[in-house]
Amino acid sequence: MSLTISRTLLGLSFLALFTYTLLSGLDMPFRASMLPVLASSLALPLTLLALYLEYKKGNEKKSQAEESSGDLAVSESEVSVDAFRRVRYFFLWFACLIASAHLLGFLIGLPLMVLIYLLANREPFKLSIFLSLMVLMILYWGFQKGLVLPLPRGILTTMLFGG
Amino acid sequence: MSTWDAVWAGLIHILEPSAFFYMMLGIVISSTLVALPGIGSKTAIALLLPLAFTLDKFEAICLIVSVWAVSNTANSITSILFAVPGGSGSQATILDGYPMARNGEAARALSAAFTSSALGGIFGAMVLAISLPVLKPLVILLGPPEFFVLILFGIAMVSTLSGKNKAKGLVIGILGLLISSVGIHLVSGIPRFTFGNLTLMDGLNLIPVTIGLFAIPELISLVASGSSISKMELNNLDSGRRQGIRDSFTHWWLVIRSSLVGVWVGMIPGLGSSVADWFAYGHARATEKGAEESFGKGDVRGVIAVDSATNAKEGGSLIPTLAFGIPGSSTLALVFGGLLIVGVKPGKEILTTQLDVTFSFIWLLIIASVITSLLCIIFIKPLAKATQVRPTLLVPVICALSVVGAFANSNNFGDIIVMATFGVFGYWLRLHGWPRPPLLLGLVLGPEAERHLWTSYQLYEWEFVLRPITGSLLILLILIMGWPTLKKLFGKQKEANV
Repeated sequence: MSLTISRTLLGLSFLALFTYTLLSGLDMPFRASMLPVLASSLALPLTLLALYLEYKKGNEKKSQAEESSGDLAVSESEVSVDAFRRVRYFFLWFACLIASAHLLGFLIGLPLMVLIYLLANREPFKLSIFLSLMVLMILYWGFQKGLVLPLPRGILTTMLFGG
Repeated sequence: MSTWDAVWAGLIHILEPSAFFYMMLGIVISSTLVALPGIGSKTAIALLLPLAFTLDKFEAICLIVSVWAVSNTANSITSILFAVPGGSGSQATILDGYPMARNGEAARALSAAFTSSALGGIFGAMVLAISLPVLKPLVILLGPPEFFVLILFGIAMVSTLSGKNKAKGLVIGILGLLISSVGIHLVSGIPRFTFGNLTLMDGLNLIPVTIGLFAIPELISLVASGSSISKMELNNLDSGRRQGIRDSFTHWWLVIRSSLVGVWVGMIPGLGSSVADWFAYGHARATEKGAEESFGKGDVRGVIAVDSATNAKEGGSLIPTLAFGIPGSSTLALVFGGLLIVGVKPGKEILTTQLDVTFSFIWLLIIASVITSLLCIIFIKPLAKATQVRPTLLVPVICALSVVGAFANSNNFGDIIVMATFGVFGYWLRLHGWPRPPLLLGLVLGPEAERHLWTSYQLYEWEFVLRPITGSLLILLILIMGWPTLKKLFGKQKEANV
């Protein structure tokens, strides 16, 4: 998906979202609707103005560098084809990280996915094992024991080994 | 409680062994995380907030405030050693810090930066303390309509972070307000924008949203850029530390003037560190003897001016935050949100009945600034090495901790989905130059804005906007936001007339 399409899609999503919040707000009782209606009615024209200004500015790369000032600016290397490939792999890994936390539990799933990431990025094997164990230690001693946080065991782990 | 009792009580609260321990923990973690590439102060605070919620009030204050208060100090390391800004407040440090490092004076530049940071922090805290007697009657004068407009003012000012297209910042700020309204409306019991989802019924929590919005996009950015600063060599870090410390004291008048610039910038919501450092640098360049020739070539005064201003800014930015409940920046909004959850409510109470809490902030700013600078000077080498950690080692570990951090907030797996969703959304926003900080401010201030809006309406109906202070603030707001457009229009008309 090109940057222009993605940008247009983002703008249109805002318009759709604010239209939805305005219409939903109008259906609510007055007290509950005050903020949503007021905010949405301000946001809709502002979104149109923002999109118009962006369209007027035209030049894609130039506007990115300028508009990001104050927030962290996007560098050239982040919008290359290679960068997007790396980001796609990251999203895939991140989805697997969450899924493994859900299925295998935090104590197994998270260190396992950390190990997979490190090995996939050709980090030394011993260092990868060490970091994964460190994550396990932080989760177990820091969160489960230290903060008394009941970390979920995971659906698969519970099915296999009982609750 | 008299003011002097409050000063004393504030100090005692943070010197309690457990509170002091959490302050030290905050300092160490903040300095280390900020020194790591790609991990900013917001990520550090977001990752530590779940821990803060398990602590008692003053322990949590010590942890949250110390993480925030010292986050600008370690920023200078990458700026001076590698000419890579560690954060928005350390861009101008590069101008003279990096040439100094290249001339073999890295340790001197770093020590001067850390020492002036501490002095700036102390100065900012003292200005905050002095301003309290002035603020108290002012805050008592204001009612719900004024507070509502002040909240809008704060969000609008932070939206100026969006560069030339301010409308983008305003849209995102309003989106934050709308996101804050997700969940069951406490007064009417009406579910708003919940789609029947149980996780959304409770509303969107600050922690998963913050981790998603700030930590995940930075990690994605690290992955996308695929580079690190690890190949750059570390310059001489052995000698020059004492000289750097001496430099800061020799140029004490510059430290005071730059700190004043920092405090002034901090007091205006929306003008963050990225402005304070350039203002201070510009001021020093314009006023110091021989600066025109030596600045930019490795003059220690350039480093001192910038670092004292960026740390003094924190004391200044606490003035509108504590008095009016308007955080001046997204990082402070995060601190503000954390403080609200642990039961510290800025506004009238914190300046009257909870004055000891205010003074504990001031003491924290002073003590944390001094300790951080000392630690940074002592541990220059390990901190410099931390800046060279490869992103491939950082990304999976911080991602795993982000997942647990989001979950720890409410022991709800749904919060992890919220975090991931906001992570992708934050990356999307960042990619297309939509600023993220106003969203956080809107989210944090949303409930207060709604409460003040309703009370104002009940008291005066829509005529509340016509009250003198409210009306003036609204006109001022419109002028500030519309000024560039008006200027352009008038400029064109003038040109046409000519």
